[in-house]
Amino acid sequence: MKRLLIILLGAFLCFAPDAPAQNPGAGFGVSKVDAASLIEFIRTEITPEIYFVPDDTDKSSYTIRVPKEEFLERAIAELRNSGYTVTHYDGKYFVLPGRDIALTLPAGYFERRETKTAEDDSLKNYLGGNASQMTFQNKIYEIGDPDARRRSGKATVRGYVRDVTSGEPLVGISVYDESGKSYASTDEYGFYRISLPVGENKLGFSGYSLEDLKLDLMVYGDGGLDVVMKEKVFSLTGAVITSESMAQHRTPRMGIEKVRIQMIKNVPVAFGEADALKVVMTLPGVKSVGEASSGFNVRGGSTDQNLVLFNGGTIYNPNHMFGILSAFNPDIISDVELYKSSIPSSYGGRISSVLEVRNREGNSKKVEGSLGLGLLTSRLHLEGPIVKDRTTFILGGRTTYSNWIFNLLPQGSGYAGGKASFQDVNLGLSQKIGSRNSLHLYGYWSRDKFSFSNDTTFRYRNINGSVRWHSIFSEGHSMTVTAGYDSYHYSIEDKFNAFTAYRLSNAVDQTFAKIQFKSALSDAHTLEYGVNAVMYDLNPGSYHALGDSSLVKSRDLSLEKALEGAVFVSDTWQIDEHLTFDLGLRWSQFFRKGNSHIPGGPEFRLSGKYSFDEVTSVKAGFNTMRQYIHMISNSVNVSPTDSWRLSSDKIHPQTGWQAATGFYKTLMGNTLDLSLEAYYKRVKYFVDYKSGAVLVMNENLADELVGTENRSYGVELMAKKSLGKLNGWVSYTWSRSRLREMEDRGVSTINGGDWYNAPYDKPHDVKVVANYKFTHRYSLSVNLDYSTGRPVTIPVGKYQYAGGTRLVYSARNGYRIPDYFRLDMALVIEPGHYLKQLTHMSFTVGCYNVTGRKNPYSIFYTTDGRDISGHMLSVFATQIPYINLNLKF
Amino acid sequence: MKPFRVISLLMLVLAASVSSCIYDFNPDLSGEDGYLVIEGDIALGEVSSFRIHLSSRLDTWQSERVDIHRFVVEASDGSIYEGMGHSEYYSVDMREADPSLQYRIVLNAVLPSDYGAGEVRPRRYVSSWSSLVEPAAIDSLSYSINERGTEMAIRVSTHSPERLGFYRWTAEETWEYRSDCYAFYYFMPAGTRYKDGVVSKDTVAAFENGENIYYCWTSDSRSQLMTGSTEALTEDRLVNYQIYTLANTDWRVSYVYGVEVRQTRISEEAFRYWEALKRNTTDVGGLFSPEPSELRGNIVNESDEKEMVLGYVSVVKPVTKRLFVDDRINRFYREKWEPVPEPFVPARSDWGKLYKQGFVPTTFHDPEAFGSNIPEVIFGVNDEYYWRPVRCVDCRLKGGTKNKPEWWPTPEI
Repeated sequence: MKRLLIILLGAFLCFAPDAPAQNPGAGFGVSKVDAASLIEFIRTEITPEIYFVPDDTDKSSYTIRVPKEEFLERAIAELRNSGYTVTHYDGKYFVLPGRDIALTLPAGYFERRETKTAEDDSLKNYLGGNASQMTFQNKIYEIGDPDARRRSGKATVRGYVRDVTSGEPLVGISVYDESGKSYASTDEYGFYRISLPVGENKLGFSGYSLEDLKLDLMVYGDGGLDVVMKEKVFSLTGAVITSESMAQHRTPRMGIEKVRIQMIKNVPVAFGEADALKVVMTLPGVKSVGEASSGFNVRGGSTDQNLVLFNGGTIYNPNHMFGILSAFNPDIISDVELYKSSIPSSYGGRISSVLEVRNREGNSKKVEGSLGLGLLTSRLHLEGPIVKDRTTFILGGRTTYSNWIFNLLPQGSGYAGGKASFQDVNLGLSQKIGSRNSLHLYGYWSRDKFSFSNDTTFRYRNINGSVRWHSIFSEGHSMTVTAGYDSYHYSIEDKFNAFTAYRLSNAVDQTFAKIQFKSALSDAHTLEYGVNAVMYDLNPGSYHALGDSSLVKSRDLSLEKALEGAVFVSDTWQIDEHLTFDLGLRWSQFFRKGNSHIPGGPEFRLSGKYSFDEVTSVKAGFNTMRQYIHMISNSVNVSPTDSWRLSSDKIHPQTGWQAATGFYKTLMGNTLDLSLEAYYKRVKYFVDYKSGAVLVMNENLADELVGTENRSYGVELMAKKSLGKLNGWVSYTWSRSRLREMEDRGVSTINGGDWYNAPYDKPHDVKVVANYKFTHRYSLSVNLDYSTGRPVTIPVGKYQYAGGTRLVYSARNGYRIPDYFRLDMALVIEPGHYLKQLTHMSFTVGCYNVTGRKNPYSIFYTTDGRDISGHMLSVFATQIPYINLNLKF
Repeated sequence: MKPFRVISLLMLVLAASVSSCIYDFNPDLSGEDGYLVIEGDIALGEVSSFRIHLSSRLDTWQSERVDIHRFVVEASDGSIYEGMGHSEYYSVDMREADPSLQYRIVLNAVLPSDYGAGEVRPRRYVSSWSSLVEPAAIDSLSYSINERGTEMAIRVSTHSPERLGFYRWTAEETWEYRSDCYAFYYFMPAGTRYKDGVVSKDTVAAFENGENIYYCWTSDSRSQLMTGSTEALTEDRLVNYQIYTLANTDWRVSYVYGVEVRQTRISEEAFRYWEALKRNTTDVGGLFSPEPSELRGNIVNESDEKEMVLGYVSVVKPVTKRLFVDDRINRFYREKWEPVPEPFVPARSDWGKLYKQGFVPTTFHDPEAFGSNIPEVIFGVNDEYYWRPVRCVDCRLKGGTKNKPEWWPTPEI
């Protein structure tokens, strides 16, 4: 895949006055301002898409006072008069100094280089893809005020990296100093800030599926550099591309996996619907109990120990149709990021991991959309500007037509009346306020309904709304404020018998707010700090009579309300080019009325990195975590009836720590990353249940719970190739996860108080996710998954009792089901790249479980008279071919 | 727990719908045997019966004998009700027992694993002291058929003046069924004793006085665990509570079906035990099923509390009620279609040979076509009789007997 990088400069010098010199009484225009201010005025008043490199020798002052519609034309003429070249291309204006840059520098300074003037024509050629990109890359960009130039020391360069056609910020682009001394990556707004030594520098930009870009900079002082990347049509010749995941040599944090939507869309899944959660399960260290399960286990943790964040809001049930699909619409999301070891101190509240799912921002140039047709769902998405270049929206929706599945079931099966459906809607709004502020609004709504033979109906829904304000105070200081509301409601209606007809429901509602500051104190220290509060409002259960003849006693468990507050601070301390530490501390406290003995406490998030060279690093980390909300479920899978309960005087918060170490090496011209991570993890007060515990509608639930400790350890090996014709990863994990009841309850103690296997303890696993691009239109994806079978409890004996054969169960999880193996393949056919074409159609033809292996989900025994027989349930016991159609317009 | 039961069923459905399958899978495991099983309740006002045996391995039903030294029911006033029995079955006469006392069982027994070198001392097993949970009468026992006519539900209604109740039911089923082909006649080979003499040659004789091999009776006890509670309801009242179902293809309902439901009101603790046993037995294997778990009842070995003893002993006062379901009224039964062999008329000389090969005389038509008038003249003229394979004529070959229970409501014999 070849994408051409284009960079353009908009140097908004730090010493330039921020406010446009506009006299409100004097009509539209500016008077007596310098070029930078003029550009800034145009940017705020007319179009933000103006890129400017100041000519530092230009001391002209501009006064323009004309009607608004004529202003731009006049300004361009004036700028040209002052010796700038002004180019209009693709809706953007590029204002560049018209003289050879070399003239402004000491003679011989750049004698090794060829420098070129950015003529109107050459720029046009370049943007049109005709000129050599080297021409452009060999240009030298000046940062800062040459007159105020410092002889030594460091300067900060900051700016945005955006996509040139859609104006979307590009997230996670690595920005690095070629000498390897400093490194930054763009945040979710596409913003980066990097500290460079004064003088000549070579600055590299690299990102997923993008060519490496090297820019020559002449740094005089602090300044800005906006970089625009353009997605070019694919080229068959290919280009030198390297990996973004060089990133792992630059951050001391460990166990962070990021997958972009492009990769997610390539991974074949059952029914062909690109599914972020299913892809998360292909990462090393992530396991699930089986297919059709969206609950996942990270490094031996349980499913409720993962914080799933969607644009900052918590999703309590990230599944549709009980785990067949995840709740995230692939047309809307940009990437998912999983933190499984070094969890930044700004996150908390769950023991094992944080999974961040982020929306894309809408296209800021034009309205576009896509239509997707799959086996189970159809999708529609629209995005575009509301106010061009300032306000954008993205809207997506999905609905299902899966009832046909049930119609395939035989009439006599008794299930023919079953119906399943879901819908979800995503909305994202972004508003730029000046160059330093942006406001984002997110909304998410989903509902699921399943009815069973007209008697029983299950429903659940998620509602999330959040608003985020991002503000850059000054060079090194920024603030992000996020606030929102998350809601998850679940209900069952059972009308099977009119006298016992009921409606059972439960709900989690929470309001949250987070204020986070980022400050670069010096070259060596970057501080992040803030506060975080979550107000919980849980309805653990309502049980109501349904219909007039129902004898059901309506009952509501007492609502649970609490406040989880936390303050956090972390310092990224770069001691030298080899050694970096990330030292974080979070203090969380849980306040619940009537429960004064819920222990809060510190959480340490420490990690350190030592780099031997550019491509070889070792890291170590230690984290402690606390969790105050617990999922109550007695099945190994995440099931829709799970309810959530808060810590109380009787339900101790879960606490845990993890120590980890890793070795990282990048090979093959920065395209292949090898990593080895090892961890040891302990969790206490994990919730397990007494035998025969009543979990539903139980006011005194704490009496049914038993504190359990968890001990997990493992080694994860991964080779990842992010770019190239062949990309993807291969991983091998060896890990164990075992549980033990913490208190001694005599004969009732689970497993006699000894360690036993966690239900997701699968020691060996091998995962391969690979995508090979034959041409720019055809690519083949392969997904392979092998793991040891999960532990289950099977009977050890049988006996005749109460008129039938009964089974004796003993040691918990003492047996393993057969090993799991699955191979999936998909062929992705991209549209032809006719730029003028109105719609682009792409489709995916694939097959899930190509070998048709009957992978067991569970092993169980049934009895019939005197006979007992063993059975195995296999969820997808055959090949599932699929086709998915996507229409872009 | 109702919601979970439904969910696990539901998940199996969902899974099934996306091409999942359930396959036979028998891991090569033998397991372990020798856990003591004590089955039975202390049923006041009755002769209570108990069964004491050892659990078996998964791959065999063989199990060793428990050497029972003494089995008694002890009352809280010190009185002892001696168990009578042998081998593994014991009964205790509790007809005169005082319902206001607490009771428990005490078993002194030697397990096969105790035998070895040295002195063998019997282990002493006791159940927890329990008092009677006041019984509730069965208000009604009824059945209903679903709209599609595929399933019949047996329902019970009961109530007590108390706030809350826990119930367990067992059911003894008896059903009358018919063979596929009626016979007015039966075959007697030469030498069969008949009335006062012996038949001299192969003979076909007519049934007399309504005798037949067309109607049979058989019985069974339902093996599924049936429990219910009113903990979610406003009062201790169950109305038409479904305890089990019968499919329309079940041969039990092919003609006249009878069931005697025995209801016991039990303690909450006992109810939890039965629920858990039910979960371990039936609600397993689904996507959202709870994992089965080790299950302990209320019986312990006094000298080793860690020993797993299977079973739960309650103190109960059972009540029973009977229900009959006549399929001649409901027309609910859907027979699995099996072709009935065409009858044929053999030569008299072939009778003996055919009989040895498994053929007997029959009628050509279904007897119901004739009503109660047996048209004797149609058959038997010139020794021409229709014959068919015996398995389609003699109902006893399907497992039942001609032993009609004395309380059975139909006139057939």
